Amino acid sequence: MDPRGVLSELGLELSDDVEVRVWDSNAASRYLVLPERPQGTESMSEADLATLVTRDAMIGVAKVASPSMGGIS
Amino acid sequence: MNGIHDMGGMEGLGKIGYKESEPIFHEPWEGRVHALAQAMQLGSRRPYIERIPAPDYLRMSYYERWYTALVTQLIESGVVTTAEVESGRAHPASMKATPAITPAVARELLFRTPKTEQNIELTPRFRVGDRVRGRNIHPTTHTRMPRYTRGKTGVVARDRGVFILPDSEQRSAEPKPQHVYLIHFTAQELWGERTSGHDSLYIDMWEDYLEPA
Repeated sequence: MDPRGVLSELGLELSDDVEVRVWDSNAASRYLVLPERPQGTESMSEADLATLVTRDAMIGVAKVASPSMGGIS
Repeated sequence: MNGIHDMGGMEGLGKIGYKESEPIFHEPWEGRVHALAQAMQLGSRRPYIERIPAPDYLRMSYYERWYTALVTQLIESGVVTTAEVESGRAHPASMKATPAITPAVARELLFRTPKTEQNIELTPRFRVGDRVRGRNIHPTTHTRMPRYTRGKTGVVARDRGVFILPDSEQRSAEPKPQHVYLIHFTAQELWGERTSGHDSLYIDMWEDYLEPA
């Protein structure tokens, strides 16, 4: 009931203007998240972009770090 | 049933216990339980997991619950007896798989995921955009309708297609195929004014769980 609290516990703070959607996968559908492309990656190849993606980003509890912020590259 | 497994909205369960890189199986026995469950192909495990008494359920790890449920399922299906489980020895006259499972067959069983969507044409009761409410039903056996949706009003976001109603799978009555709908609830509808007015929850609901709002 408190997804923002959970995300905060996992290290992700979201401002009030961001909409949070919780997906309860109780039936036959399963979900993965297409992470938001971080800033400063416009010139990166698909292969290089893939190295930035983390497990946590694909389940929606973390954002993908931009390379200039020290993300894996 | 209104059991402990139906935790949506509960508080006081402690920290999530985040692990940066968690192994798929913490111990080899967990992998064996997973493989056994897949090899037996006995159908849905959830009804058996949900029958674990609440204090035990909360104490057990994920694969401890799988193991407990699997043993119950094997006994109730007549594959093994309680005596065989306790002694760890097969009774000389017990059922045997013929032919015995080979490693190659086991590998194929491990990756088999039964397709659940039904190839049946049924007129849907609801359409995208309809306002619906979770019905005040309290099934005594397995259901996929969490308590937090009871009496709550949402909007049909998508028609998922036709699936067998899980509540009907365990009963001796005929399995019931019906439409499943993705329902959009606002966070405040579910959790009150404590939550953000921006947030939402999406959940799949079988047709029997819903009534027009």
